[in-house]
Amino acid sequence: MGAAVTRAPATGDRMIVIVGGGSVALSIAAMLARFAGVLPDGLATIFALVGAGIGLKVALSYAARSASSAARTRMMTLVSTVGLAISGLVVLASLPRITKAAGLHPFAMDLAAQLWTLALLMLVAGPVRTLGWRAFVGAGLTGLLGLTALARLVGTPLVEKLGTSSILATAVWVPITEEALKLLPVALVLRMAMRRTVARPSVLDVTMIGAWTGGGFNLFENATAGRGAFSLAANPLLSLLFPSEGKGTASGWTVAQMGHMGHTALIVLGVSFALMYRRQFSRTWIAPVAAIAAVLGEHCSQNAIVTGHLNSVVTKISIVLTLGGRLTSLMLIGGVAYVIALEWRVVGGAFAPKAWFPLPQAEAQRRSRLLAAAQATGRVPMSRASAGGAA
Amino acid sequence: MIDIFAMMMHWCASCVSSGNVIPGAAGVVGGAAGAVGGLAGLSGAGDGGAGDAGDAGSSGSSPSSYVTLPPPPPPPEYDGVSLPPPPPPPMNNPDGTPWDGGPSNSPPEYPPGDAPYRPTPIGDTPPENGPQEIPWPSNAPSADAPQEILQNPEPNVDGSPTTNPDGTTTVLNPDGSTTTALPPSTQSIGVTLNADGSTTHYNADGSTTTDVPPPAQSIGVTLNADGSTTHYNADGSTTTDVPPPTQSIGVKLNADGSTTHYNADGSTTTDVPPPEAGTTAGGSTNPDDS
Repeated sequence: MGAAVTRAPATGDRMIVIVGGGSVALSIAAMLARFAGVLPDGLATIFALVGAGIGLKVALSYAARSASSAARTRMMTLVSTVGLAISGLVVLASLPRITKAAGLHPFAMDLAAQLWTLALLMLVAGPVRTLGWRAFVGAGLTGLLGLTALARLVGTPLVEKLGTSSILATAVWVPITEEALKLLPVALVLRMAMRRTVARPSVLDVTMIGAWTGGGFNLFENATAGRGAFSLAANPLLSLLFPSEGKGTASGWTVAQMGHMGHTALIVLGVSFALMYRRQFSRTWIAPVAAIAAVLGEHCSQNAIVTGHLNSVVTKISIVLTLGGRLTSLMLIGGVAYVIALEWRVVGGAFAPKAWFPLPQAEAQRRSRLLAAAQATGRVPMSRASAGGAA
Repeated sequence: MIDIFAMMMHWCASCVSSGNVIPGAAGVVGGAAGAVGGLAGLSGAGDGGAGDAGDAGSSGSSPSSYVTLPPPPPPPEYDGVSLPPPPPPPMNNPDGTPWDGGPSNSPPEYPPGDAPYRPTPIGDTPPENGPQEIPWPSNAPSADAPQEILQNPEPNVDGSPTTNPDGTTTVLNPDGSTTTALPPSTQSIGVTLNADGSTTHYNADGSTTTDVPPPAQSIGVTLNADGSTTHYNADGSTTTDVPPPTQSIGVKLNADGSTTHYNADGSTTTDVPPPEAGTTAGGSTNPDDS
């Protein structure tokens, strides 16, 4: 990152380069100090967090300025490549440690299962996607490395104090904090998007950011817990779309387990829909409230069941309410289907698979302008014919 | 089918043993690098990375892909000729309130002394108030007969447009005023005056409408003392036809072969035919000359 930033052409960017370079140096120094045993893990993490926070702010400022200069835009692409490369190297360096519990095979199976669903989602969102692959891969790496570290920083003290069998720690505190932290990348993207009036991403763009973030988080958690598998038959029909979805039994009843990717994607779908299409529909707040309730209902109840301290009646009630753990899966499928039908009309309704991947820049800009216009005016074409242009 | 998942799983990253996870600082650095990579990747929309940046649309933190706009499309053309400029903004009254009514039949009111100049007809003084109107009973409504009044409906309070009997639409503005617009399909967005006096309107829906003005229709005529005639046209204008002064109103064939024309103004004109071949040049055949 630092090498890329120092090549900034404009004199006015020098302060940004200095601050950004300093923040990156601070984060790396904290990491090295932790490896050298100079700093304890908690303190090193806090230093790294401070540096990373400043670095992100600098990147955000530079990204905003990049609109005015082709050179700056190319610079941001270089910064993106370097950032993704650094993150990828950290993942590779971490693999021996995080797969220590069960080896690389379950990790590879789980990686394939997560990518299967992400690829399907990418395919479905193809007609309305405006963001490039870098944003999604960056979100996945952030979920895998950064957000799991943050979640442990927040959750581990209470878990260590109360024990892993504590309902308060593992079935209340951990699910709530994890679901909240996984929304950080999405919050950043939504914050930028909602300021814009001339160009906006689609709801499915933001949903994919959430899915990639959750997928990375799930990959880390499964690897460190020594689990991970790929199955298209464990849960009838649902496993065709979510091969990472688990299946277990509780009180003699079968329970499907969606996992972090689907949970985060569903919350993001509800939140972004309510924010972006609040002019089109009344009471859009129902979407995020329902999504959050369903996700926390599954996450909390299933963690509580695993602790072994939930009585049979409450267990069965929770299983019924969550449709045997299938509620979030079905809500996500229905929500994505509805939003793609809506946004496909907004961007013209044309069937042009060649523009789905790779996504041309001009096509991305055309879609984002149409999406912004529809979201701002509250008017969505009721048919493909009235949608006007096509891809 | 083999159930490869038989146990309920724990969704808890914090419950994993510390021996299996990477140091938090490393995770934060790697995660932050990934976040920067993803964030910077937003700058170039699409999968190809960054492209050429356009004009910055607005300030604030945003990826450039959400501010770059292509140039506006060129105006539509008809047979290679550019259309007239777009229609002007909605008309307002002099006090700034939106214009919400059609043309009035009542004459405009002018301050004393500011009345516009009106030319008087040439020739005899026309009858007072112009030519006398010819009554046409079938067109004249009975004083007792009920008259149909095309009154616009009340505008909708929710801001949606209401359609008036004449096809126009009226919208209630937030400030309580109303704005009346022509039907979109026939709304002229430009007009061209043609050489023959007709006007061609370019409508919003791409069609054109050509208005041909009616010819000046005379509804009254006066024969003036000088022989000219003054026509009082339907549009209020007058046209005076002056006959040519040498117009022949009679002709007489003389014995010598010449012809005498009796003109409208009382004068006469004699046309002498050219001499035939063999006669003496310049010789007179007029018996008056002998």
